Amino acid sequence: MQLDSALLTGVLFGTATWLILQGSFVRILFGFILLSHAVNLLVLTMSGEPSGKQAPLATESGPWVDPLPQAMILTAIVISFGVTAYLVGLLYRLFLDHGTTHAGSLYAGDSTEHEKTK
Amino acid sequence: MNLVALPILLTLSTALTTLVWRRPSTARRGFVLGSVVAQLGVATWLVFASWTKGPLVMLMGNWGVPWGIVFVIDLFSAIMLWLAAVTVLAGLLYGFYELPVRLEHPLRLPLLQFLAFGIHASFCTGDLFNLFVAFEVMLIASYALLTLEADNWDIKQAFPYVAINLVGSTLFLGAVGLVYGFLGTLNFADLSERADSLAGDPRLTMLGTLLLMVFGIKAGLFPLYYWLPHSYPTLPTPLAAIYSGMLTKVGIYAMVRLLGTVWPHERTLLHEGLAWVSGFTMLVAVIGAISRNYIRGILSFHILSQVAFMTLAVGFFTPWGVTAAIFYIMHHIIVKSSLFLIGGVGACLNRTDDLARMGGLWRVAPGLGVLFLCQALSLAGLPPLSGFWGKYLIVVEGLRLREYVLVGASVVASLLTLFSMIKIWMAAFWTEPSHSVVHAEDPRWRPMTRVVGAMTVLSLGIGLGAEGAVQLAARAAQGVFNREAYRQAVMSARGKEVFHFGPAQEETARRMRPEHASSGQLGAKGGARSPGDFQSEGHRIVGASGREPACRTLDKGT
Amino acid sequence: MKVQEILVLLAVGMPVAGVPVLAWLGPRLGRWVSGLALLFPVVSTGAVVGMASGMAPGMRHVVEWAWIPSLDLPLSFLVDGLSVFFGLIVCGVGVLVFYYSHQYFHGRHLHLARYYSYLTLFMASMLGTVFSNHVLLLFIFWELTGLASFLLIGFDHTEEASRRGARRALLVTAGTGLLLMVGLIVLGENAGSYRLDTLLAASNTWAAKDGLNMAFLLVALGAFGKSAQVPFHFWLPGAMAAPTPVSAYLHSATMVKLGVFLVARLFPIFQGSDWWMPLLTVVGFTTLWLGTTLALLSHDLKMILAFSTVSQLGYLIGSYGLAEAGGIDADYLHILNHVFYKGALFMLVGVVDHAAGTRDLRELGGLWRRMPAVGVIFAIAVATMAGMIGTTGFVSKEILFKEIFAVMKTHGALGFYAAMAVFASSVLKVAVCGRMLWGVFFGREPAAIGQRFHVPAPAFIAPPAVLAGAALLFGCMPTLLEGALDAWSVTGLHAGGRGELAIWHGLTPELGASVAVLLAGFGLFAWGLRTGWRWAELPGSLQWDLLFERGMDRFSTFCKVWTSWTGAEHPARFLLISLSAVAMLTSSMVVVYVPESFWSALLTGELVQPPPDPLRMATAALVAMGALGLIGLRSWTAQVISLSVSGFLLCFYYVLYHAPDLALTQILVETVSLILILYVLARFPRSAQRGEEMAVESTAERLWKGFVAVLMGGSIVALHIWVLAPGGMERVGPLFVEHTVALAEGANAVNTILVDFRGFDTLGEIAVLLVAMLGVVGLLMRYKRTPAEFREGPLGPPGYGIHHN
Repeated sequence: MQLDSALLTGVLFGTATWLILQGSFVRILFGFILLSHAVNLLVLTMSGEPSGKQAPLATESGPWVDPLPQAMILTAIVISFGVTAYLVGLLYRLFLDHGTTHAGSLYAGDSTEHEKTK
Repeated sequence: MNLVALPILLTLSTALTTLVWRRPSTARRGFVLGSVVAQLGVATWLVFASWTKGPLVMLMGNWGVPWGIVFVIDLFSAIMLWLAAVTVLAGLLYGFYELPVRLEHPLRLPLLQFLAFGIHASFCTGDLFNLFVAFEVMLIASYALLTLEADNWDIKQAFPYVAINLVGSTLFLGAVGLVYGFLGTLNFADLSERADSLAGDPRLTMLGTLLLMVFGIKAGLFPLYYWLPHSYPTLPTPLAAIYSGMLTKVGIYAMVRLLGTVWPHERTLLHEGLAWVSGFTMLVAVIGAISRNYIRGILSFHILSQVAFMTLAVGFFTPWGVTAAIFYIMHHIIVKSSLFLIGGVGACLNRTDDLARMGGLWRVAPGLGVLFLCQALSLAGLPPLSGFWGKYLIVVEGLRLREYVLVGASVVASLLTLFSMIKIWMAAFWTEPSHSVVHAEDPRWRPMTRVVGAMTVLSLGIGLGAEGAVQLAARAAQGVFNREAYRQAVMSARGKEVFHFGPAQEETARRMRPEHASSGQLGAKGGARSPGDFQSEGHRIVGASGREPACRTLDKGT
Repeated sequence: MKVQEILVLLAVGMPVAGVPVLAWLGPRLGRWVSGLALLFPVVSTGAVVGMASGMAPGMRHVVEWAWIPSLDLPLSFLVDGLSVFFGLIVCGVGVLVFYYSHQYFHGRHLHLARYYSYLTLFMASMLGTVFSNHVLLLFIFWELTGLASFLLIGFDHTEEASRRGARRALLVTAGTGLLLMVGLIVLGENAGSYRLDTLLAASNTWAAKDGLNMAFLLVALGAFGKSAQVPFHFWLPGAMAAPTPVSAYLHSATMVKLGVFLVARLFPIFQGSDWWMPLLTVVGFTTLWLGTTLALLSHDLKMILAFSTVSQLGYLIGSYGLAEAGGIDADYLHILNHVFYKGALFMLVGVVDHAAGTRDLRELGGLWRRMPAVGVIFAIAVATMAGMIGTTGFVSKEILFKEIFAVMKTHGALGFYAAMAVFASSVLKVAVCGRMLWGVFFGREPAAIGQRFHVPAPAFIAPPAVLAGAALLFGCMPTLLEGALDAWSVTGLHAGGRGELAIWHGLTPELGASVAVLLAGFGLFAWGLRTGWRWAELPGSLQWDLLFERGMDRFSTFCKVWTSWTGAEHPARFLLISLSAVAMLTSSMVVVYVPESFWSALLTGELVQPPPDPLRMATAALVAMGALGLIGLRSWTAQVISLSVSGFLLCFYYVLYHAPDLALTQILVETVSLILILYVLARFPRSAQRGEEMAVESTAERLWKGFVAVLMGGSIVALHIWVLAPGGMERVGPLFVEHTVALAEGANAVNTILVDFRGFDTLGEIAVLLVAMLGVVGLLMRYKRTPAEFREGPLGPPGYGIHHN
C-alpha cells in the first residue's frame, strides 16, 4: 500500500473539488485538469507498490509493475485532454457570448418559473 | 461475418464518411438514412439471434479473456440496440422533414452517428474500461451536439451539463481503477466470477455503490440529475427526442448489467438504497415537471421521473423486477421520444411551446391530438397502453416485496404525471390560443406527424401486444440474471492467444484463476471452474482442427 | 364459435370497432354520421338482449380468448345476471342517447363525428367493464370509461368550465382508479386468482384477513371515486359542463353506476371484510343526505340532477353495506328506477335548455303553456323521483322503507343513521321535485324567454318519453319486472327473499312513512315557494369543486416553489449541489461500509507496509503543494505556474512508478494543455482576474465548499487504502508483460496493450479526440448559418423557446 499516493490523490481530489466549486472559469478549468490528474494517479496506484519492480518491458527481467493501469491511464489522459480542450472551447464561447468569466454571473438575469408567476 | 461488430462499424463508418462528405445534401441524408436503416436491420437480426442462440460473443482483435476486449450481445443488449436504432431513425426522419437541407448544420449528422457509436458500444461491450471509453465517446458527442446549434442562451444551459458529466466520467474512471485494484480484471464475465468468490466482502458492495452512483449521474437520479432538465430543452427537437430516449437509458442499462451480470446476486444495501432513491426521485422529478410551463421542460423532468420507475424496478432486483425494468425501458424510449417529437410538431404549428401561448391544436390537428393522447396517457400509465404494463409489473412486484411506501410513491407519481400531461393537453390542444394563430399552412407538420404516427403504432403495439414485449423482457431479464450462461459464453470464446500458449505458460494462466488469488481474509473461497480446463481446451482445439474460428456464438446454457 | 362467444364479441366488439370507424369515416359523412353511429349501440343491444333472453337465475358463462398469457391476462368475459342487467342498461340507454344526441345537435355540430366516436368509446369500455371476468381487464375498461368521460365533458373545449370540469373528473376518477388497481392486485395476489368466476366461486374462504381488508379498502375508494361518493362527490357537478345527452348517459345512467356495479360484483368476495359494513354505510348514507341537501340548494337544473344522482348512488352503495351476508334483493329495482327517471329528466332538461335557452330555475317559469307535452313527461319523471304512487319510484321506495325499518332493528346506531338519512333525504327530494316542476312549468314566465323560445321537435322528446313511459308502465304493473329480475339474480349477491312486487301491500308502516314523507316534502316545497327560495344558496364550505381547483392551483405554486427551493431553477448552483451529493454519498459509503477492523489496522500502520520511498514522498509533497498553491495564489500567472509545476512533477512521479510511457505522454499533454490555457487566458480580460477575488460569497458558502472538498478528498483516501488492503484478487496485468513478446511480438507491454490487446479502447480514444475537435469547431462556427437563420432556430420563427418568455 502506497500511503504517499493515497494522500496525494486525496489532496488532488479535494483541491480539484474546491476549484471546480469556485465560479471563475479559470479556476473551474484548473480544477478539471487537476481532477483528471487525481484520477489518473488513483488508477496508477492500483498497480501496486512499484519499488523493487521494473518498468513493464519484457526486455527487463521481472518482477514488473502492472502495465494494465498504465495503459488505461494512457487512454484516459488522451480522453481527458480531448474533453479539456472541449471545455476550454465552451468556456471561451461562454465568454464570447456573455462577456463574463464567472459562472455565477452567467445566469444572473434569468427569471425562474417561480418568479414568472409572481 | 460476425454481425456483433456491425452496429459499431456501421455507425463509425457512417460518421467518418459524412465527416468527409462535408456539404449537407439530399444524397448525404439518404446515405445516413440508409445506414441507420441498416443498423435497424442488424439490430433486428441481433434480437432474433440472441433470442435463439443466447449471448453472442465477439473478441475484439481476436483476444479472449483476460487479454482483450470482448463484445457480448445478449438479448438485453440487442433490444437496447434495436431501440437505439429506432429512436435514431425516427429522429433522423423527423429532422429531415423539419429542416431543409440548406439549413442543416454540416456536423449534425456526423456527430449524431458518433453519438450512436458511443451508445452502441456501451450496449455491446463486455469490459468495464471499454464501457468507460464508450461512455466518453457518447458523452463528448452529446456535448458537441448540445452546443452545436446553440444560441447564446442555450449555451449557458450546456455548461452544467458538461461540468457535471465531466465529474461523472472522472468518478467512473476512478471506480474502474478501484474495481481493477480490487478484483484484478476488467472483463465482465471474469469480474463476475471473481466477485462471486469474494461475495460478502463489504468492498464489493462499496464498489458497486460507487459504480451505481456514476450510472446514477448518467441515468438522472436525485440529487444527481440537475444537469438534465435545463439542458435538454435547448436541443433541437429531433436531437432532444434521441437524447431523451437513449442517454439516460444507457445509465440504466449499465446498472442492470452491473447488478445483474457482474455483481453477486445477494440483495444488499445497494439494492435497497437504489429503490429508495428511485422512489424519492420519481416524486421530486414529477413535481419539477409540474413546475414547468413549456412542453420540453415538462417532458425533460418527466424523463427523470420515469427513469426512477425503471431504477425502482431494478432496485427490487427480482427476475420480475428486472423484467419490469426492461419492459419499462422499451416502452419509455418509444413514448418519450415521440412525445418530444409531438411537442416539436406542436411548436411548429404554434411557433412556441410555451403553454400560456399555445392552443387550438385539437381543432386543427386532431390526428396529432390522438397521437399525443396515446403517448401521454401511456406515459401516465393508462391501460391498456404500454406504460400501464410497466407500472403494473412494478406495483405487483412492490406489493409482493411488501414495499408499500415505494408502491405508494409510484402511484402518486403516476397520478401527478397524468396531471401534467393533462396540463399540456388542456393548454395546447383544447384552449384556443389567445395571442397567436395556428400555422396550419406550414407544410412541415404533416410529414413530421407521420413520423410520430409510426412511433405511436410501435408503442400501441407494445401496449396491446404486451404479450410479445413481456416475453421479450422476461427472456432478456432471464439472460441478465443467468450469469453462468454469460460467463460460459464469454470464457469459452477463444482467441488467437491459444495458439501461442505453451505448457510453460500454463502455470501463469492457472495462477490467474480466482481460486489462486492472493490469500486474504475472503480471497480463497474457490471458483466455479476447475483450474486448467481453459488451457487444455485450447490445446485440444488447436490439435483437432488447427484453427479455431475467430469468434463464435454459443448456445445458451439453459 | 359458440353462440355466447358471438354475442359477447358483438356486444363489446362492435362499439370497439366503431371508435376508429366513426373517427375516420365520420367527418366525411356530414350529418349522416348519426345514422352510422346508431348502428353500433343497436347491434350491441341486440347482442345483450340475446344474452338476456337465455338467462336463468344463477347462470354464469365465461367466454375467453387469449391475450397476454405471460401475465395470465386473457380477454375473459363473464356473462351472468349482473353483467347482463348492467349491459342492458348501457345498451338501452345508449340507443336512446345516440338518437337523442342527433336531435340535440340538430346533426349540425362541427365535430359530430368526434362526439360519436367518444360516445362509442365510452359504450365499448362500459360494456367491457361490466362483462369482464378478470379484475385487471375490468380495471382496463374502467379507466377507459374515465378517459371517454374526460373527452366528453371537455367536448366544448373552448369553454374554461368544460376543461376544468373534465380535468377534475379525470383526476378524481383516475386517482381513485389507481387505488383500485392496487386493491385489485392485492386481492389477486392474496386470493391467488384474478378471475372473477374463480374468486366468486371461492367466495371469501381465503384466510388472509389483512390482505382482504386492505384490498377492500382500496377497491372501495376506487368505487367511491367513480360513483362520486363523499368525499369525491365534487367532480360530478363539474361534469355537467358536458353536452346534456352525455350527462344523461354517463353521469346519471351508466358510468357513475360503475362504483355500484363494482360493489355488487365483489359483494360475495368482500362482504366478510371488517370494513365492509361501516365504510359503505357511513359513506353511502352521508352522500345520500349531503347530495339531496346540495340539490335543494342549487339553481341550475343540471346541478340539481347531478346532486340528486350523487345522493341516489349513495343510497345504493349504502344499502349494499347494510346487506346481510346472504345478499341483497331489490338493488336492480332501485337502479332501474333511477335510470328511468334520471335519464328522462336529464334529457328533458336538455329539451328545456334548447327551447328556453337557459336551465337556471330562477330564469325559468310558465312553460306549461308553451309545451304541455314536455310538461306531462317532466311531471311523470318528477313524480317517479318523488316516489308517487303509480310509478316505479313508488315501488322502489316501498321496498326501501321496508329495508330501512328492518335494518333499524338489526344494525344499531348505523341502522339508525341510515334511516335518518333516508327519511331526511326523501323529504328533501320531494321538495326538490316540486321545485323543479313548478319552477320550469308554472308561475310567471320571465320576459326573456319569449324572445328566444322555440318549440322542440317531437322527435327530440321521444327518448325521454320512452323512459318516463317505462317508469309509468312498470310502476303500474310491477309484476312485469319480476320475471326478468329473478332471471338475472346472481348467486351470492341476491338472497332471493324480495317478496312480491305490487302497488298495494295494504296499510303497512312503509305506506305511512311514504305519506308522511310526501306531506313533509310538500310542506317544505310550499315554504320554499313562499320565501322564493331566497335561502337556497350553496355555502362556500360545500363547494368542494372550488376548493379542489384552488388546491390544484396551490399545488402548482407549491411545485414551483419546491423546484426552486431544491435548486433546479439556479443553474449556477447545479455543480455545487451535484458535487455535494457525490461527496456526501461517497463519504457516507465509507462510513457505512468500511469495517472497524480497517480503521484500527490503519491506525496501527500495518496497512501501509512497507513505508513509502522517501523520494516518492518528497515528489508527492511537491505535487500536492503545487496543487494547493492554486487555492492560495491570486494571479493567473502564478496559478498557471503552480499548475504546471504540479503537472510536470507528476510526470516525474510517474517515472517513480516505472511508467515511462505515461510520463512521456503526460509531458506532451501537459504542454499542449498549457498552450491551450495560455491561449484562453490571453483572451480573458485582466479585469476578470480581479473579479475573482471579489466574488460575492458568504462565509457559510465558502465553508460548505471547503467541507465538500475535504469530504471528497478524505473519502477518496480512505477508499483507496481500503481497496488495496489484503483480500483482493490478483491482477491480470503482470500476465501481459510475461506474454507480450510471445503474443503480440512487442517488448513494451503498455504499448502492446494499447495497440493490440485493447486496441479498441484506443480507437474510442481517437474518436473522442476527433469528436472533441468537432465540438470545438461547432462551438466556434456559429456563423455558418446567417444570423437571421440562426435566430430562427431549427424550427423557424422566434417564439419557440423558453427564453422568449
